[in-house]
Amino acid sequence: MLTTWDKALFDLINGGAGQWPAVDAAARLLVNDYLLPSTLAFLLVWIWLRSASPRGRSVDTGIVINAVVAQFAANMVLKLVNLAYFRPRPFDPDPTVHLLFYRPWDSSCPSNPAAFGFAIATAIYLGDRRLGKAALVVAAIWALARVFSGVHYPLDVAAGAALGGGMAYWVSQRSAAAAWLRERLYHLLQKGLVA
Amino acid sequence: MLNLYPSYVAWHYYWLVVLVALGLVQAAASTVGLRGLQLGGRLWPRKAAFAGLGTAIAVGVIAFVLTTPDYLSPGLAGSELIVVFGAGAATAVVISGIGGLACRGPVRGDLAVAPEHALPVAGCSFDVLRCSAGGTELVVVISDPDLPPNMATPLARAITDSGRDCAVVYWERGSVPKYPDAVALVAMVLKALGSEPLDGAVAVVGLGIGGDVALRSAADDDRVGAVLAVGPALSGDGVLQGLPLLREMSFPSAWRWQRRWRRAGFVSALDSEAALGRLGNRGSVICSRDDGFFQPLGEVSVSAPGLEVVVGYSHERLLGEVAPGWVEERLVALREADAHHMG
Repeated sequence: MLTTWDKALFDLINGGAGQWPAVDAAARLLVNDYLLPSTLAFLLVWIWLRSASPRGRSVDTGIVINAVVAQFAANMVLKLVNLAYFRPRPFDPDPTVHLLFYRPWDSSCPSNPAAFGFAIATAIYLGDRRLGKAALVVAAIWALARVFSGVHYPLDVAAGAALGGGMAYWVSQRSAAAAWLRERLYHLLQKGLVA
Repeated sequence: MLNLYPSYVAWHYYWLVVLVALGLVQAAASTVGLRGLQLGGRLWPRKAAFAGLGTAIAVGVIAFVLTTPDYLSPGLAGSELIVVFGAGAATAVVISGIGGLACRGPVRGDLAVAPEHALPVAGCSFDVLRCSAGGTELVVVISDPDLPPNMATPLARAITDSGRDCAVVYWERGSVPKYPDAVALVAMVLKALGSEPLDGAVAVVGLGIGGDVALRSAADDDRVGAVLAVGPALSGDGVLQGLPLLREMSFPSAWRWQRRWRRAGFVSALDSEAALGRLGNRGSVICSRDDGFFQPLGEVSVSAPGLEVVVGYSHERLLGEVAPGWVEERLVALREADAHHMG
């Protein structure tokens, strides 16, 4: 049932691809591995540097550390999931899919880009609501572009977003080990004049 | 294992990151006031910095898309992208740090003449400047170990000109105050002058960390009638450390500064904020928001009654222009109170 809805929703979104060259060009700009992930990473660079007060510096450095740790943790969980479960890409069983991107060979679910994007965006959101909303929009656009371009089902990006967002929440709010690591890293970076 | 294939894509992505990250670092340095990361060592106007960032993003993205046709093909793995991004961002920070070398920190300098009296605290000595008329009131001025010692000279001169004696405490180059020795600093100065009667009131003025030492060492000494701390840190949080040090100096200077001694640990041990509370109306603090050497007061959570922020003055001006008036006012008030009490 769920996969039927997932396929129907995928067909609806991907159906828009290949209709208008300008939209396809924009989608290609958004779906690639460079621009939107770099935008999220540049946001982290800005957050790292933007504050002058000790309290602000501590919070901002914490956001950056949370984002990096959450991203790595989400990626590790995703690799483990991929060992146990493989879902073919939308274009594998259906050659009529409008593909605007190259053919990735790894498992479609959970979506790696969605996990990466939402891990960083959620970590930012939990520390800075205003900038976090912008980061979540960037992550959502990236995820949507992956579906539009025919490389992921909607359920894949939803699962990736849940994995990345959940990991960021756990690292930022729940994990005592992550809090310990954050504190130690902050003082270490401060000694090195980079925090 | 890093394959970084195709290598030209990796290089193009690296230069895109360097360019945009450099723009970001410059915009942030301009916003936060990090002279040590600002190209040229002087703060840029914010509008210019953000215009530069916009240009860097536009040029970087357009150049990347136009010169990298394989950016939509299978290329660098996610982990490789992270490594290249990290290298590019680090390069931008290094370029900014080199560009900020022109920003120099405060020059410590040596005293022209060795002070007359040595104190039993490592590297600490003091001079007594007498007023011509033979003063009955004494002002102890404690300098900051990391600031030029002659910063206290205008204040000392103003004090002696007003008919009071002045003892100026100096720190020898390379020596730093130690806890708990510094707690007894004012008592040690008064003891060293013990053979000379102290008929009138005693006031203490300290600059920077010297202000923290003044507050703490005078808090439990009844002989001290008034204490003024100019730009003290008040708590460990109030001491600039880490990246914010680049507000005032280049990266190598900040590195040496931070390695030299643990200012934050010393101030935390002194607990001068609590001492200010104990001093009550005997204690005063004046701060500035207008130079980066000290933590801007607005960012320090302090709720002390004697706290005053003087906007538009550097700490040097506070010491030379505001502190003499405070000394005059407080010592006259002490003298009148004393006369009233006697009468």
